[in-house]
Amino acid sequence: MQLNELNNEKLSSLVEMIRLTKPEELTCDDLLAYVATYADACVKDLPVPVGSEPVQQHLSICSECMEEFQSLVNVLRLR
Amino acid sequence: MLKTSDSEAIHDLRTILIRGLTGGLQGKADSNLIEDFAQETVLKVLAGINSYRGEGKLLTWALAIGMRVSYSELRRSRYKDVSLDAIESAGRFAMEPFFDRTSTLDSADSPSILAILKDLIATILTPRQREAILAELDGIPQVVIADRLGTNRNALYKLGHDARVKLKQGLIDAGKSVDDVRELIIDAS
Ligand SMILES: [Zn+2]
Repeated sequence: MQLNELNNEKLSSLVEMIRLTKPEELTCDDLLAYVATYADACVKDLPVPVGSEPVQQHLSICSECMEEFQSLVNVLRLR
Repeated sequence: MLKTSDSEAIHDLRTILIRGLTGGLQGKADSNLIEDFAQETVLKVLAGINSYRGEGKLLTWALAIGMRVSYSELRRSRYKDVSLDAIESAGRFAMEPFFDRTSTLDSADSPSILAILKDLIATILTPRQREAILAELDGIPQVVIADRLGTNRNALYKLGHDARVKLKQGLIDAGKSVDDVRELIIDAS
């Protein structure tokens, strides 16, 4: 994509990502170390584990980790 | 040499992964592919198990790795025949300031916020940051962008994060808050 093809829809996604951006964020690999605890709590309807904000922040900004997380939760619910 | 109990545990893990991935991927991959994904996941779990510091259940962690392995391969194969142009065109973009006078978001006080954001993308990002951001906005999976930029998903995420931090600061320096931009875009759509 060229920059002049950046339409309002794509610009809107970028602005939303910029809005959610924090100075320090978990990377996709970092997330894997914490996502199991968070997913287990979600599935069991337990309170959100202390310190989960970076996990939630990454999931809100990274659609691919979110897709993987949703599939993980689906599997855990089947178990 | 693995002990019998180890190889049984690995066999059990593989069986659980196959069952979990079959349920989680909901028809996105056939059974042969899922067996391959499970096999690759077992190797990654074995390689990382000693350094795993997460507090979650080990099996949930293994399934999370399984999802990462599976989706990465599925995204790769979906884009296997897509030309490089989508990514490379962003890198060929000229570095001159870019003011979009024709934008519907332009107002009397130019340049508009849209133009400022586009200008920031053109001027303050490195070519790799720009390529990464524009390709991702085009919906190209991170693993595909990473393969083509000769990096990996984790480093690509950092590249994109650095770009977002710069753009956020650039808007602040230009006297614009992200919420201003957001409102204008919502109004215009
Ligand atoms: Zn991610």
